[in-house]
Amino acid sequence: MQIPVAKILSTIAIVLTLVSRSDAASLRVVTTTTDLASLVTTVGGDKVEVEALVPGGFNADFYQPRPSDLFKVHRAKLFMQIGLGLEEWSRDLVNEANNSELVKAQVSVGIPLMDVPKGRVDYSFGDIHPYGNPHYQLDPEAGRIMAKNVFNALSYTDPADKDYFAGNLKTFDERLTAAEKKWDAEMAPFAGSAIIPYHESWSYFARAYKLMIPTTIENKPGFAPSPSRVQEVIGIAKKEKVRAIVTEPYYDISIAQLIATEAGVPCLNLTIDVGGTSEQKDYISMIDYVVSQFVKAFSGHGN
Amino acid sequence: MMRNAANLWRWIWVLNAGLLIVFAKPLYADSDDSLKAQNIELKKKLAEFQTELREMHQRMEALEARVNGSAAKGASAQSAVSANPAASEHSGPPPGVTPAGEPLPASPPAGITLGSAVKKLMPGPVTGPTSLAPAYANAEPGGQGVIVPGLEGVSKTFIPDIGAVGDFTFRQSDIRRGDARYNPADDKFQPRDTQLIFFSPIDPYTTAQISIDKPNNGPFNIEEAFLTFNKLPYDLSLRAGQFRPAFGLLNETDTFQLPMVNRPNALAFYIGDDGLIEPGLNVKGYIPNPWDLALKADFNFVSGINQTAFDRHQGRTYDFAYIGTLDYSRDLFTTGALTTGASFAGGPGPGGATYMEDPFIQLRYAPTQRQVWTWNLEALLSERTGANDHGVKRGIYTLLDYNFRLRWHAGALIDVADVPGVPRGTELGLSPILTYFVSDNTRLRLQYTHTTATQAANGPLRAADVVYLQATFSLGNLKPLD
Repeated sequence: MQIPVAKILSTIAIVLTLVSRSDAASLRVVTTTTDLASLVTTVGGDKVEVEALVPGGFNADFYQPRPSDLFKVHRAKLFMQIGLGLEEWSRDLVNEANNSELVKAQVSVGIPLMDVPKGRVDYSFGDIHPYGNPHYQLDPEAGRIMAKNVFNALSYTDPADKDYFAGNLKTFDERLTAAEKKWDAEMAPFAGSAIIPYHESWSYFARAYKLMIPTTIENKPGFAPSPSRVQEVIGIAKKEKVRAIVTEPYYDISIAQLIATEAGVPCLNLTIDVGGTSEQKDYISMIDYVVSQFVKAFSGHGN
Repeated sequence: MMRNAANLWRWIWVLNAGLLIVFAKPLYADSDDSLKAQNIELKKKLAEFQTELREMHQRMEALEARVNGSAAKGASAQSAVSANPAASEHSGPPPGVTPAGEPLPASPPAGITLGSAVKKLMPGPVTGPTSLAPAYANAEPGGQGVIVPGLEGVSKTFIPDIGAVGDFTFRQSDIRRGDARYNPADDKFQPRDTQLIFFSPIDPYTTAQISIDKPNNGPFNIEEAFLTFNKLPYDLSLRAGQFRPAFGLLNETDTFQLPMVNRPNALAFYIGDDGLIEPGLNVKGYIPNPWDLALKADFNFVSGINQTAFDRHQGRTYDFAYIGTLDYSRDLFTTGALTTGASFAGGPGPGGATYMEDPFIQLRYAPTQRQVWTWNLEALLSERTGANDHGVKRGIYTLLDYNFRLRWHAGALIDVADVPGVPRGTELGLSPILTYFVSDNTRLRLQYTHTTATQAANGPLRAADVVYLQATFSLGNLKPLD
């Protein structure tokens, strides 16, 4: 059973020598989330080829990279991420991918951040993000800044197509402005309403539409609540007259539903990223879907 | 009587007045000189302070001029981007963009305001004397110079990333006296493994990692110590030192990181309980191909110090071992993945040579993030020529792991292996496994293993039932548990 090492090695060497690295004509971009991929597609148009690592409906916070992700990053020209510690797995991924030509970009630059911890921070606080809450994509104004940062990164990586990217950014800006007017009008009657989310994913959405968040179901981010905490949240929901309990599919929906039932309010189980549902085709339709679900729930037509 | 008292008071007044006349002038004279001296000293200090102030003012003006110049440039660039993004011209990367060849930044990008908590963790004055920072030489010990490692984004000036691992097990079996495997010390609580891991870039082209290990039955030792060179042509990566070479699905995984308590016998019988850890050289890279297939090659040229797999003392002095892996991975469905490949190894063996082959496949299917199925299948074929030649020995294991709730895993392991050292004898192990991740850093596990009766080199072995409890923590994310 002696292994023909020399043959195997020489075959590999021949392959390495003869087959040159295939460089696609378009700019290969890998993003961590589908929201970012959507913005890159919007701004980059047909000049870019985009792949998102985290599938729609999945939480980037506890995503486990697939072996093929290494190869995606290895052959990409630009890697874009949300940042603020949301994708802690990305650093090992980028290092292991060993791509010396890779440009890396974070799109959180310039976004007014929320929930930046004050005082001492350690693991006893749970899955806390030391730079602030990274779920800013639910604020449309943050989406506008994200798109601008996407433009900056694309223009830096591919300066020849900067004008093309600028035109696409302008179009997106206009579309977002129009959509924001619609969302503002739809959500305006519910300003001041209280909601209780499972996780701190809704802080930016609440800021954008003037909703109140008296507490979250999780006592510590990333950790399931204890039975006593559930009872406490039910009490808060009743006392604060909350209008909805909000969760995402990857959390324990049964707990959210129990609290909603006890408090007598609707439970919204919402995907908060592009591709989470068939209606969430791009960034704007993703927000549009979320807003429509809130409007339904607050109007008494929700689940 | 009254007149005497009045005279007494008069005398006292006269005496006081005399004393005042005698002593007042010298006192006044001393005070005048002292004040003059103080005045001169103050004037001198004022002059010095004014000189220093003037210098500071000049430096401040110079800095302000530079800041205003940059701000003006930035403002004009920013307004240009706002008005017409295409019109902006920049000499460097925009905020948040890290150019190619530079590592992903540890600190948050410009524009992010750190909370006071994080600011407290930022490196502050160093303790102890230093010629570079004399103002900090008297800093309080335990003050701001303390850095919290492992907190992503907190800059750590020249301090390596630090990881710590503790792996504790409890075993209870029905193996009794008379059985060759009987060892009362096994059926106890055991601090099976404790590790300290250090990792850091050491120059723009190289990183270094060291793992200091304290196994249960041995002294402290350096388990791994290697340099990695990542800036090689063709995006190749080179490691030099002592490390875990890629071999099959699990060899790069430390024992405490395994998805089961112990390395399956299918592997452990031939490469040892801890797997292959070898000093030598490793080169790995992707194989470019016109079909964009994710093909990866990994080759190791090592000493062959693993006593179970190789035996360098039996070989000639110039005999080395080689270990190679070729693997292919791709996405399956929307969220699943496939990895398949084969490893091979050869080196000096007892009285001859050892050759091993290890084909493997891993499938992952995740209909939702709360339901992830992972299936591993790996086989190992080992052949030794020379003294202990019993033909080709085979081992195969399969593990089905189901992540059925957030943080909860249920697994089933089937582990079949020819017993080494005897002409015939195969051990079959069946293990249900339940794992709970308390957090990303802490893991609890319960495993039951039933092994069938078999023949070993030192006699027949009865069937055995073993229950394991395992508690493991890993801080610093250098060797994560999952």
